[in-house]
Amino acid sequence: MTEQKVKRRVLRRERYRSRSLAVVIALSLVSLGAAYAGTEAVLAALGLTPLLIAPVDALAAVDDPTQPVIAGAAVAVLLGLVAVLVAVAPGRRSRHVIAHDRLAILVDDEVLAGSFGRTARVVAGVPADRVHTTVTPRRVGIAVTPSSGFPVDQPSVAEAARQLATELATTPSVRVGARVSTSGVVGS
Amino acid sequence: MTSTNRFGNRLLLLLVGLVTMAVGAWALLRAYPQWVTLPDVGVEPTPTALWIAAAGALLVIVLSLAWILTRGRGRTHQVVLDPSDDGSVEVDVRVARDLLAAALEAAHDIRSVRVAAYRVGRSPALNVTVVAEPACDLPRLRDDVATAVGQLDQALERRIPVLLHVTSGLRARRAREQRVT
Repeated sequence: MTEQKVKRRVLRRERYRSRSLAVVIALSLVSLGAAYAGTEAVLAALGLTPLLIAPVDALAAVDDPTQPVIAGAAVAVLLGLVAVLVAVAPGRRSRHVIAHDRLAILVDDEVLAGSFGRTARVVAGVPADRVHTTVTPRRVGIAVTPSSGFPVDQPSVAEAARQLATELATTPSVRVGARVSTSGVVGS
Repeated sequence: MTSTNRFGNRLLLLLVGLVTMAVGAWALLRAYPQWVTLPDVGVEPTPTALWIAAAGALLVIVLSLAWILTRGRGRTHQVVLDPSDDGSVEVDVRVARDLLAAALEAAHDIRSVRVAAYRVGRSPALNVTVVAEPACDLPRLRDDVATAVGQLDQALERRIPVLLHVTSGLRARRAREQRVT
């Protein structure tokens, strides 16, 4: 495989969650059930006393359902539904890819938010706790609360954040929105 | 970065889920014959049928164990493996780890660096996980790591594919900084 191919493959895989844990849990439950059913079948075939219920009685119970059988069947339907949903859900992780010619770069969204927040804080000249940044797959939202008497220039904050977005060239690409609160806060 | 077949995992999970749902729904609907009439199970538990069922259960267990034990493979120790006529060159992942850690020791905004090697396809690739400060300068961090990887390329005299994963270490931590500059 060429380096580019490896990069693309690794990035595609690492942006999505693996189902390994879900599969391990599902298969463990299936194995436990199979082990129990197999044991009962062998005991019945050898004519020994069953552990809990003989296969012939179990089949009869399904044909003429009692309360516990109905409850068990409902639980099975729910577990199956969960497995189907986990299998079908996209399972995207909150991460962004950053363009680079040598490295394949993946950044967690918290780190991306921190980086945009830092840029906004430096341009706005406010303490860090006055900048609130949220990152969603396609948007970066920056909210700045200025200190009273020290106005913050919204266009320059937005411009700096846009420059950072252009420099990072994330996938999926993000649009930047910067808001400056009209009411300032006194102190610090 | 493991070589686990992701599509296979999804397919198997879907299959197990659908079968479980079908069996559960079938047993459940028998309790309400006024809605649907389903045929009886129709299998007499003869000794032959019981042995076949036991063998089937054993097969399911063996296949499940085999599937479980083959998850998460692909990790390797060798980042370079060059067999040639007169001996072979092997470079352990620890070499890459030490070189990168040394190069990034003085870098800003980096708390720690983890390096692991995986085989992707046939060739080795590096997974470099950087735990960054909450409010880091991403472009500078990116360039610092790229420089460090460039030095690694020179030392190893070849380019190994590198995945850089930048994380904050703590998932739920809010990006905050107490220092005012």
